Amino acid sequence: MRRAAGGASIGTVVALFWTALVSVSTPLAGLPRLEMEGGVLVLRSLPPILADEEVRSHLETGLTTTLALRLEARASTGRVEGGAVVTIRFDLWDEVFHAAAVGAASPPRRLRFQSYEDLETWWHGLDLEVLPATSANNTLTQARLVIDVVPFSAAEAQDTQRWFSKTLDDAKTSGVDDASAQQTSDALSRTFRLMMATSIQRRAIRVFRYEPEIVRSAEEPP
Amino acid sequence: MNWIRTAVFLTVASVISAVLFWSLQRGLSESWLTVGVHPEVLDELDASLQDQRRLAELDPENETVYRREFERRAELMQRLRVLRHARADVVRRYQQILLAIFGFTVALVIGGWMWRQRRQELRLEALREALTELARGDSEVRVAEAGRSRWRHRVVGRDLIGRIAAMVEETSRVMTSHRRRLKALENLSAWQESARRHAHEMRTPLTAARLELRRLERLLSSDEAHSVSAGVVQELDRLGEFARRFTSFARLPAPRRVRRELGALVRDIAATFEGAWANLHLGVAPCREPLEAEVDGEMLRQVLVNLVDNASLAMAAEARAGTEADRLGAVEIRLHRLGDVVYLDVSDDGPGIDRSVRSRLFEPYTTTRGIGEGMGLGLAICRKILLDHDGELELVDTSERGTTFRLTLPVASESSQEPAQNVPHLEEP
Repeated sequence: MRRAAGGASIGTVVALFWTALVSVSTPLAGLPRLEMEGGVLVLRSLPPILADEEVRSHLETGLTTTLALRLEARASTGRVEGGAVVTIRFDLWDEVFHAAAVGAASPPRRLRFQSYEDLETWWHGLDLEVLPATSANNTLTQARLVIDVVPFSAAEAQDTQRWFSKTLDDAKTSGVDDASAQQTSDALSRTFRLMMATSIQRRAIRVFRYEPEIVRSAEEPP
Repeated sequence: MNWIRTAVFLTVASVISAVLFWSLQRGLSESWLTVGVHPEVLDELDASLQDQRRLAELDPENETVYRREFERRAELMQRLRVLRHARADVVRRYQQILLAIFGFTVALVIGGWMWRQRRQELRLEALREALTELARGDSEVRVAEAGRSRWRHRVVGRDLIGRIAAMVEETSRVMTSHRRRLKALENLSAWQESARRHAHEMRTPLTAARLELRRLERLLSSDEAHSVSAGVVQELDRLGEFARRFTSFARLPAPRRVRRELGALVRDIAATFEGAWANLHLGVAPCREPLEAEVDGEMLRQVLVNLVDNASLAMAAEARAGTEADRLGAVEIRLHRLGDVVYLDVSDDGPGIDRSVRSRLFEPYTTTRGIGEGMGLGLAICRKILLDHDGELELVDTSERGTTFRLTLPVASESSQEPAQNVPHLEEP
């Protein structure tokens, strides 16, 4: 009896924690929807995360903002995972947005937007295939969507790593006059630069969590 | 227990220094990156980008140039923005590297210290064992290495323990040398006493026999009797010479030591005896520095002559054996100094010393010559002379290519008598 009571209380705590987490990280707008379309699970009505103050300020920096969407769901076959990626880059010279969406079951879509408003409209109307066609898609009971907003792309990270390493090397070379001392410290210096440069890693600046609504079409069995 | 206390102290000290180091370096390591990616820098770059765009609008002909410059600056700005985003990671990595270097240094220092402590303990243990051996009166004590098979440490060195170890070795060496010398002197004393008794026992009947023979000569006046008497006298003289040699060995006088420059002394001796041996050439190797020792010149001459004489006899025996009949042998005397001793190496190119007598070469009555050709006292007397000079006479090397004897003499101390240039050469003939 006591065990059952303990189990119930742990469950309550977990539920409260999840609710709190979701309420903190989820904007107040409506939930995204998961719909079946030709056997493929499509994510629709994407939440207006581009309007988030931090994301919005970052979009026009010229760096490639990556929106990584991860879907975890329960199906009759067990736990399924899917996802999609959307990248947005603002061209500083032309002042246009370049966006690309890569779903789980369709070729990449590349678009160009003259303004932020156009971009936001596109985002909201975007359909993203997050799970390829499987028979299990019809049996989804619960889903969780996590959107990571990563401020720069892998290519930009690598470019910065190279530049940072070179900058450190330049600083070292200009600081040491003695050629033999420079030679001696070369191996250590290379290791140091490598360690410093590889510390530049991509991390999400914002994480959004949702429990999307699963919409089943009338003709498809639950 | 002491070891544990030290380990605890070192651990606590390391942790405290690590915490102090961590807190001090944090402020420093964060600041340099903050300066690099300061918002003002980014704002300035952003403004410069806008400038390029405006310039392109105003000067469309050079738009390509402005755009290129724009892109270059935009690239830099984007890198700075990436760096700004990753700032926390970069700073953390920098701090980790610093802390790792610090930890490595501390570990190195502590490891080195502990290794040194252990080494000192092992060396002290080796020193203690050496001192125990020394106290037991064991033969020459060596404290060269301490520790077991894999990690061996030199005990003798320039630090305090090393200097003490060197002193112990030196003391042991001196003690061994003194012990050996004492034993040799004791042996020689016993032989001398024996020789003295033999000589005494022989002299009395010899004197009586000579007197009786003279009386007999007076009584018998025939030629035949005189002839027989002369033969007996000759034999008695030989016996007398035998007894005289016993006496000279038994009553070897104490050396009258005077400070002499050995190079000059040896050259004088060589010059005096230059033609004394027909079958060999005696030479003295030039010496680079003046080597002074307190010696009895006459006795040293006796020793050198004896050694050269032995070489000459050995070469003559070799010639008689017919191996190298017409060969002119060579004996060379070399002088050199090592520390507080002077070495005189007397080397010949003779046939070498027989293996059977090498171990007892300096014992009295040891000889390789035939009966009546020598009593085998020469080298014993020579060694006694060197021992009386606080020195030594050793056989350094012998083979069919030649033999080297080494005379060791202590260098004259600063406080000893003036050089012998001012005193008459008593030993000169």
